[in-house]
Amino acid sequence: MRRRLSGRKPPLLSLGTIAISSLALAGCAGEPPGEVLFTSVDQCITAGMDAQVCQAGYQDAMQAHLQSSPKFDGLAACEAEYGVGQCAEQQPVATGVAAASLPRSSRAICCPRRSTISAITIAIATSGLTTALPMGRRRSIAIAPARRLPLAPGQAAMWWPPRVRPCSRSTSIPAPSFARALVAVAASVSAGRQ
Amino acid sequence: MKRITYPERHGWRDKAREVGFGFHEMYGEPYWLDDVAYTFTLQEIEEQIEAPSQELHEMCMDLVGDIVTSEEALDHLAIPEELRDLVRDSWERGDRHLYGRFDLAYDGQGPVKLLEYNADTPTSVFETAYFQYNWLIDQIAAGVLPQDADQFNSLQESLVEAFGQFSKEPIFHFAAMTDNEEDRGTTVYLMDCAVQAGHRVELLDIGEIGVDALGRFTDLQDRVIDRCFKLYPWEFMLRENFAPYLPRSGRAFVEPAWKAVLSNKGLLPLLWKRYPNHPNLLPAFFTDDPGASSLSSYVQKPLLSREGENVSIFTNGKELASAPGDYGAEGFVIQEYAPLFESEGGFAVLGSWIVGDRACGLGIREDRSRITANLSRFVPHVILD
Repeated sequence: MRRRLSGRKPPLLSLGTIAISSLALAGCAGEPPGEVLFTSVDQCITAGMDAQVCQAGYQDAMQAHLQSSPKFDGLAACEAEYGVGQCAEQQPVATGVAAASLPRSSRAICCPRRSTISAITIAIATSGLTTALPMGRRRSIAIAPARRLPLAPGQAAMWWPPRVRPCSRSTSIPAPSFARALVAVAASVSAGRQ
Repeated sequence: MKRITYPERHGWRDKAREVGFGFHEMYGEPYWLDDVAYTFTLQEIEEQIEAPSQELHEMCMDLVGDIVTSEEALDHLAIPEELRDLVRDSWERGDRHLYGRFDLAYDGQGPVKLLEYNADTPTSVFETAYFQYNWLIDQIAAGVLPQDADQFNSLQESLVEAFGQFSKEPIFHFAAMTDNEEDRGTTVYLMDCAVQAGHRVELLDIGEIGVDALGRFTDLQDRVIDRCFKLYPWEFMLRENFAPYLPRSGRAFVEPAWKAVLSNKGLLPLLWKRYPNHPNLLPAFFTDDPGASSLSSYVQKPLLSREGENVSIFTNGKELASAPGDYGAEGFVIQEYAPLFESEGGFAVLGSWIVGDRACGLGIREDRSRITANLSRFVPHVILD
């Protein structure tokens, strides 16, 4: 068989985008810590959350998905359960053995694609912090229990309404306030392109 | 190797925007070209690009140990004396590295020639690994390319695999000049690969890294940085105000400090001395070497330079092209001139990727100038037999 030099599967972006900045999360003074859950980054953003915060939550959820999703020994076995085109191959990691040295069948661990699993739920924790702090200060990240059913395209995802009230008294701003950190850039030159 | 025009993908700009690839245009000029590609045969890729890249990388790795233990070689590479132990120790400890990209000259005839090894910073990794791959599958799906069209590109899965070799215990910090869209996007892409390998990650600006009372690098929450990817060249790091903390804490960084000797144009004369007349090397000399005057058509390159700055090309003693810039204080090397692939698109340089010590991908940039600079354009490639 003719040798192929491309990757075994199309590359995916677990964060969905490379347009993320170093941002901070801050809640509202006097607000009790709360948690909001979404099933997609878009939904999170639509609900008025900061896009970067949504991405960060998604990152955690994606990682949990990769670790916890059902694994199959081969694409066919996965597709038998989830349908054609609904599965992605995932490299085994930290095996200490170069994957290329293994027969294909033993390295083809499949799991359903992230987009087909509603269990990827983004949990954004909020707190009563009043000053801008880095994202890592999120008090907790929770992953909703897995629901092992793929979603059909266009099907509304299951989600939980936010339990967080807006800090502003204005009813025209229904979202919690997430402040952008002021990023001090000390150096003045770009590392540039090489 | 041919340059072929194809219909561009419908809606490719939307696809770019969706994944945050805003720098498909830079400096008001297109950077990503969707309606053209370089085509190769499988045999050409295997014999002219993949195998020589693998061999060149092994030659480089074989040379590092000699360089880091030779004061004369480190002098030639302008590695600051007080940081040589850092470089040497990182090599002798076997600090893990991720990637490198050879810039190769290839005009479709004869063996490729090594122009330089970008062994420290990963420009064009997202375009190569991700966007170029999607171009291929979209063009196959659209019937523009045949079903069996292929690409020399297992770059992303190689990166995920390579990230997987690092301990998952510490947070993997990612530092870059985050106000630069391209640097930030490239860094976030690699961070994404690390997430897929199972790492906890955090992005911060390189200027936000702090130092604690013990001289350890810290993040914005004063957590000690145990592991940090940096899109920031070692030659800058070795010369900055926080450099005195590197001997204590510089081990945290990826790429490791020993990459400073490979991402340096001084590598080129050292390679030529070790492997004279190797088919994939061009004769190269430090300027104080008598051999430098033996070349009539040559390129003068600063030891440390980016985006083609301060590079000059001379043919038969006359200057053919030169680029301005702010580099050159550390000295220059002289390398024999090798013509690039030339077409109506300009001059093309092949970027051949090494990840986890394996040649695994190709990205091509073309420029109107013979000196590939920051106005170069990325052009996808495809393997057709």
